[in-house]
Amino acid sequence: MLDYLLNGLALGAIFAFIALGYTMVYGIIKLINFAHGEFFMFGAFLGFFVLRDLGVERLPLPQPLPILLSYVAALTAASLGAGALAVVTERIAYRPVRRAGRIAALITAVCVSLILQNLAIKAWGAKPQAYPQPREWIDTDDLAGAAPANLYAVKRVETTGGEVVENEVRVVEAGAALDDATRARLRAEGHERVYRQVPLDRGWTRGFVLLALLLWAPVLWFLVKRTRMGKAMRAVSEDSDAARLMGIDINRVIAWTFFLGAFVAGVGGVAYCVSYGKVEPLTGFLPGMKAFIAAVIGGIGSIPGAILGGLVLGTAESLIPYALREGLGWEAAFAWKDAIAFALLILILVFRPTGILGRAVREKV
Amino acid sequence: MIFEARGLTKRYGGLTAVSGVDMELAQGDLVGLIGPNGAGKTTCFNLITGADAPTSGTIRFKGEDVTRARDFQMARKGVARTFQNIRLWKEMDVLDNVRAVCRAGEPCGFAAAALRLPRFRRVERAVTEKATSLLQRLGLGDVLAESPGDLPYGDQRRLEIARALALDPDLLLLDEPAAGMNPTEKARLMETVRDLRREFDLTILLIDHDMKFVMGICERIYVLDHGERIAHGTPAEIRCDKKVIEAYLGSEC
Repeated sequence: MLDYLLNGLALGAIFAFIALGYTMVYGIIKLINFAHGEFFMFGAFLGFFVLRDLGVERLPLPQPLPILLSYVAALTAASLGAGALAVVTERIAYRPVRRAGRIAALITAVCVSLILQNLAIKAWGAKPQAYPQPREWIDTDDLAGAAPANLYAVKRVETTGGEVVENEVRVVEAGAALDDATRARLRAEGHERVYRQVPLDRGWTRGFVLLALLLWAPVLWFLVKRTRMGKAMRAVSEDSDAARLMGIDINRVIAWTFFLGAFVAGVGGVAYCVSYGKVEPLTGFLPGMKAFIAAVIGGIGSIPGAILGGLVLGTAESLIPYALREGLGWEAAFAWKDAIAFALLILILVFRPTGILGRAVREKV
Repeated sequence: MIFEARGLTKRYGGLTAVSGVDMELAQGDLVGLIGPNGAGKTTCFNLITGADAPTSGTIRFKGEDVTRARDFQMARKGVARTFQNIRLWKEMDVLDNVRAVCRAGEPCGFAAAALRLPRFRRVERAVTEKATSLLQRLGLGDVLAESPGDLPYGDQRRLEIARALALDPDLLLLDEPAAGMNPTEKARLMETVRDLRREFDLTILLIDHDMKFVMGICERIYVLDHGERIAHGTPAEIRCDKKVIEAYLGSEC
């Protein structure tokens, strides 16, 4: 039960990270930025490249500090990259239609989302790729001494196109032992290296996302409430024409809002993919939708609302199926967790359309 | 001349809102802009503040050609305005309304703010001090933490002036500052406007429909009708100008 609760909270924290971007952008230009999930995906991919090419996959183990540093590097790259993509997207896609009305902007957002997804498929392939995990490299001669776990053997092979790639095969399933025959076969087949995957402890990843949210929430609150840029954001959100005439460069303020929203989504992207172990161009879709639900549950436009909504949704997605399975003996309950999330959205929209912390907006007459 | 407009023209499709208007303001002038409804006064303000770009004509401000400058750039160059229908940010408190606009001392980036560097604190303190003293100057020192929407009408108008002054303007545009005020409040506003001009070295251009107020405070007056400048002169001259009486004042002379 506690385990499910913690899982739910950790997942909720990831939703909250994404929901923040939705809610901030909505707050300032009243746009539901459907491409936000793609900023998240882009961040996750950048994190993937850092971890794969510079980080954990290349590091000799055991070495706790460099591993930690490589995750920090991945998170930084993901956040900055997602933020930069958001700024570019806003500049070329949203700014030109800003005065064309909300429907035009919404349609643009859906298109941007599809374009980014397809660009990612073109660039990185449609197949899901395993998210890098720390590896312990083992000498082939020393295989007998290796702990029985997920062992992978690597060899260079030439593809039909003449390209040399590193080919990996899983040689021993988790928990099984490596026998002499397998070892001999590996060597005969020309495998130069063997490594063991050391999965991150789930407790650690959960702890990390919750801690990250705990650190980020006050920073964001501070930026929006206390700084001049934050005040400018609130001014633009309420009356952007007055803000312009008071010397506030609204293009810059809006760009910063996009940057900041995508920056935190980048953190969520890496955290999400580390927890689920894979990344693909469509990675952003479902968490993006869920985070949108979280933002609506919390009250769109409200920063504390996005955090609360994320945590509520994550917990509900974990505890409700758990209760249904344990209480009613319904084994398939967890397969229905997405349906539960969307049902929650419908309930909120019917009974409290402004969300938990949202305020009713009186239409100006 | 701190401000100079030459042949200012603005067309919206077939409608000419402002047509060939010339206007000159010297440092320290207190000038009125009057005319019947739809004469193009507000369009003039929009052109001067850069909210709208003129179809033709040029605008020079402090010796610089600013015809194509954008609204927020004009604001930073020192043109501030208040609004006919009050446009305060009602979701921020009174102090933040002014602080959002204030520039004091060195610039401070987001990074410095996020890391709460000493520079951020220094800038923040300077901004708060400046905003507070402006609000005190306009008699709003006791309502810093209140929401602008809860203030009485006259206070809201003065808060708009405080917010405009936070830009350190050289040219202040007041759009119907006396609208909705009773004679006592109007008299007080006249005092305030005169005092502020001296204290802050302002050049002031104002629109108002209350002739007593405009004639009482302005040294010169421009009169617009159908987008054209039909008269220009001292209040005494304007009061007796035939065209003005015909178009706007009615026989008051």
